[in-house]
Amino acid sequence: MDWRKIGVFLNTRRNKRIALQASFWAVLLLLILSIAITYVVPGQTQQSAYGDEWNDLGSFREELNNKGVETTALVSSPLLLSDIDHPEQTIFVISGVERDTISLPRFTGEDDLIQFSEGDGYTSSEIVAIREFVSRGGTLILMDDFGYSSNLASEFGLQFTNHRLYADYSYDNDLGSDFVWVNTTSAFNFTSSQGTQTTVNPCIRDVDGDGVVDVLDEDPSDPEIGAPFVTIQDSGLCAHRFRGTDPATNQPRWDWSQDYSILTNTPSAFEKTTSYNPAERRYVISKTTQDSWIDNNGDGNYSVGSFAAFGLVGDEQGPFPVYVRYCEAILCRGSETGRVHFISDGSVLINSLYDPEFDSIYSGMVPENDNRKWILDVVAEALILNDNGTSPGEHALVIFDESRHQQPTIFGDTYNLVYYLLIYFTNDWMAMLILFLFLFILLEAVLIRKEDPEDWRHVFRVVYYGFGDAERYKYYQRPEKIRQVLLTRVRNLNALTMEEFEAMPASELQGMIRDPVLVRFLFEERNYRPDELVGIVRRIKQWGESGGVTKVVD
Amino acid sequence: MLAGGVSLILVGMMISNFQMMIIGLTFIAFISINGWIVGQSELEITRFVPHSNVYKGDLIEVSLTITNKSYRRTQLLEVFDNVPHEMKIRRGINQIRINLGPGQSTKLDYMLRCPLRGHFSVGPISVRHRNAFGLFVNESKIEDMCDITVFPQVRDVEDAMLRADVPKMYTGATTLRTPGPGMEFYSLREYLSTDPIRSINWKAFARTGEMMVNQKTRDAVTDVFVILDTREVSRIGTVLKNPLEMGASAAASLASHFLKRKDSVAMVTYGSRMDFLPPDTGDKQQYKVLSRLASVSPSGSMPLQAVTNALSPRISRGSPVFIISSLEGDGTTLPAIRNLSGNGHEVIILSPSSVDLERLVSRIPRMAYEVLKLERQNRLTAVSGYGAKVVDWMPDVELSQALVQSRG
Repeated sequence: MDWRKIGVFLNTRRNKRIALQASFWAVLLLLILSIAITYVVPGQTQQSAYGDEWNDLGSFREELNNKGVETTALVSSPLLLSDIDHPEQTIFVISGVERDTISLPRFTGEDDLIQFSEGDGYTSSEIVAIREFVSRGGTLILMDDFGYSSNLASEFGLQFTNHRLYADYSYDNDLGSDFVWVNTTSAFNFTSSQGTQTTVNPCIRDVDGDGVVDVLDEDPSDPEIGAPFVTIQDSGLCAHRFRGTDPATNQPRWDWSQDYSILTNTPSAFEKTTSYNPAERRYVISKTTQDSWIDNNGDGNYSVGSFAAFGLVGDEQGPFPVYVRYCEAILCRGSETGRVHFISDGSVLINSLYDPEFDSIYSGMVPENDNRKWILDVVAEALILNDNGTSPGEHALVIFDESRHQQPTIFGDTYNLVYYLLIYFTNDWMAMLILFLFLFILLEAVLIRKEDPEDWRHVFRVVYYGFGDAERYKYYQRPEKIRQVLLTRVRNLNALTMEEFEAMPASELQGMIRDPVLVRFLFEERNYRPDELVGIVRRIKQWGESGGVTKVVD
Repeated sequence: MLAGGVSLILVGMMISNFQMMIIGLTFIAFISINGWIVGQSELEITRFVPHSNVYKGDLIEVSLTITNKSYRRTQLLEVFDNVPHEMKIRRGINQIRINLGPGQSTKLDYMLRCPLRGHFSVGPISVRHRNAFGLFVNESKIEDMCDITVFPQVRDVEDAMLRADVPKMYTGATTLRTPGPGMEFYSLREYLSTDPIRSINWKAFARTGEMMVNQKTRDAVTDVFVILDTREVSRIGTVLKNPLEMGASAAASLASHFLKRKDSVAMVTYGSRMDFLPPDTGDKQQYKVLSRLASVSPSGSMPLQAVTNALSPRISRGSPVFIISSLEGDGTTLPAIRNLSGNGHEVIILSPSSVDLERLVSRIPRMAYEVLKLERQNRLTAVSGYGAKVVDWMPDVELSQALVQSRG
């Protein structure tokens, strides 16, 4: 290899320029990458519907797909919920809100007009979009503990304690105290006075009391008519309650239980005071046991009572609501009305708990639980809209919110951010207005600054004028000036010095002029008309040309 | 187009119309491609001007050679040679639109006319790149300047000088029997330390043993003094016809005439200050005179007597003095001329008629004009009364004709 030739080659002007440009772009790229590194590196995924780790929700999503339910992920912003055409057949699943989002201005339409600051988690525009989604009949499942979903829960009147829930006895002995049992015996007994609302869920609804669930009953109103031979496939979205066929009656055996034993992982809880409010259609479904407590002071130990005098906060004793249901219609009546299921643990559907056979570090240790049964009941309640069918509706859709999860792919978060901005600027009309104004001003500025250059042309321009003092023209038309000019002319023509001329008697001057008109003009002080002055000037001129003798006399 | 593209994309996103979004993207892509395909500016431009010194009214051929030294096409390229406004393009045009390939070159030729005297610069060269669709423009300048000096016109006044009533005793170089710079031998003298070595007479040194040098006889010539009035009042009239322009041309013509006759000519201009070009002969002196006259401009109000007083020790005895002035607005004219005449100088006054020049640009009332003319005649008569030859130079009269009409 000839290094000298390479040196000469690199030393050319062109290659130097290329090297300089390459250096510039490389430095610029490094700067941009150093800023955007947060959005470039792959994140640690958890509670994602598309992950296969023990703490992801992949098993749940796969089962839904197997049941013929379409699933999708929302990676940009819940603002898109406003574009859904069939919210009554849609479930929006929020499983753990791991991160905040950027705050952008929002037009509130209220007294404060523009809201510049946002709370944690979802933006106000997104919360409004979710709220409207529920109002239009959508189902929201919010599973979170210490995340950023407080503002969303507050929108429905519910408050998180935001502290860790412990149970002294009601935890799983094998897995440890992080796994707390939350049990309920009557999940559809929303209030103490209204009784059990079994009609709410199609998987346990049996109006005629013939022992065949209505969705399989050939005539749900006739107790004499049951169901034909039913297979697990026929059970559709209610298959999790199918227990086989009774050989004696040839009717399906069914799980009619209304109790759930839900296993949670490091849960939190809701505030007791705000959880139950039938007037606002919030119903507590599951509570913890009496031995549970909220670790308000975060010391990991149960501290009874308040020690305010010592600056300490005491822990609070249970039971605490963990699963709360909000209904858009009273008692969640009507299959197409909106509803929200709040559960103060983001892990109830993770693969390890949802599928006990899932191969993980907890494999073989996870006890039998009703987490799967509970969520499939919720799904069936949301997606089965008619009485005589177990299949999901034509437009049934389950949307997993991935916009608040770390993305596992490179540039995944960058993509989410860009997509979020795109959605923001195309869904929020205030943002659209700002964007249009910005673009308008920007383009106007560019147009003003970047005018088309004028065509070049040579201009020949040499015209200028040197003017005399025009004021003196009046002076030269006065009789005194004319008289002075005449006298100078007489003196010059007669070759007299100033002294000689001034010493000369008047009679001699008259004799020199020999023109009575000019003589009279010299000696007669009076006002002359312009035409008279013109005549006198003409006479002076003629007098001078003739050498001192006037040839023409007017 | 950019606004349209962005708007289409936004509206397309709002109404979920992908066709509209694609059209918007096409617009933006078009703009982006336009920005990318921009011309290359690695140009070599050389200008050739055959003469840098010309006379007023002459023509100049200017030639530009433009070469694309880059490896890409120039795209649409405009080249404009900046020509002073005082110059007129007589043939061709001083700009060109080209699209040169790598290594290609082209020429731009045009011809200029210089109607005004002075010092001018042609250049710089403006270059304007446009991209393929003419949407983006990039301008630059190449600081290639070419200085041109335009001398005042020189008229042939030989016949007029012969016929005119002005002195004709200036016969060119004559030999005086006094030592000084010259060609003929005068005498030998002893060597002084200030003498040049080559003037040593080596034969005399060999003969006498003493250093001797040759002395030459002085070649004496007549010194002609030309005094040009450049005061503020000399700007009255149009750009081409005013006392200063007429006077500059007359001074150049007279100087040229006498220098051709091997006389020695001195040039004095006065306005805001006095500039004195000492008497000398030859082409070099003519160049100096013309350069000085090319740069004069009207300003100031210095009186003539101050000039003549300052010059009196420098004017050779009996030298003729030409005064070129409108004689306006100066009360010292008469005593100045009287002093010059009294010192034995032949004084010839060439006076452009400022009243008639003013009439070219101002509407002077008839009576005021007549009185102004009478007053000017009085002034000229008084001057001629001191023995000066006076030429009342009207604007529409050629210099040679005016000289013939001199009166004394």
